[in-house]
Amino acid sequence: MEATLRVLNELERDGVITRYAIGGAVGAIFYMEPFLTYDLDVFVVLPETAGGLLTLAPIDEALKRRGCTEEAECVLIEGMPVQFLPADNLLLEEALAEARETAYAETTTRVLRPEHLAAIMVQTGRDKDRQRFSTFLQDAALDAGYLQGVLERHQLSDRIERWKTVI
Amino acid sequence: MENRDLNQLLAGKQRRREELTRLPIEEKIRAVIRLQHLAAHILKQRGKKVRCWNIASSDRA
Repeated sequence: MEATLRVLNELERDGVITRYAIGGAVGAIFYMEPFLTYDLDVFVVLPETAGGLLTLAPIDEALKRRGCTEEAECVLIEGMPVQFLPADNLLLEEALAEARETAYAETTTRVLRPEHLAAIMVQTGRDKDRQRFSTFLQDAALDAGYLQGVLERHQLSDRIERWKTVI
Repeated sequence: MENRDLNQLLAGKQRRREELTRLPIEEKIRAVIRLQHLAAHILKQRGKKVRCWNIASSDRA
């Protein structure tokens, strides 16, 4: 995974992406017990093109030049399927802006805060998000006040109340 | 099973989860790769295409 993270750092350094942070299952695993997953979700802020469009094409092109291949919705980077997800709503923008720098072996990377990961689970709202959310609340050291602020800012408090009735 | 035994089991399970949560991330990723290999055979039999991470030796168990 370290080689994959080095490639992500190079994409950011080269301006292909403005900023990235690990989210999804691997992001959650930074804060809780490990569980099964097969891909690495990477949230990205993309540089705007001249026409104002946001597109993943520059990432695809930069990775193809490195010999990376596409596989379903992922790109295989150094043996790891990576899915790039644009930060296309206010919650994701905030999550990326406030993501934490951390070390993986000798390499610096960035991971979403646990409170944002929890809020994204609530916003995404699939069955597996609800199941993971329940365990995540127990395992991860969350700042309850910070989480409440995130949920309120992004109108997710009602949804979490509904979830509590079925968890 | 008595309540006391059940409570001990549950407490042990919770302790194990807490230990796993505290592992360094590199060790957690090694555990994920082991899980991928364990699950891949079953998932492939169900027709699901999965790829276990083939990453640097430093990430492997």
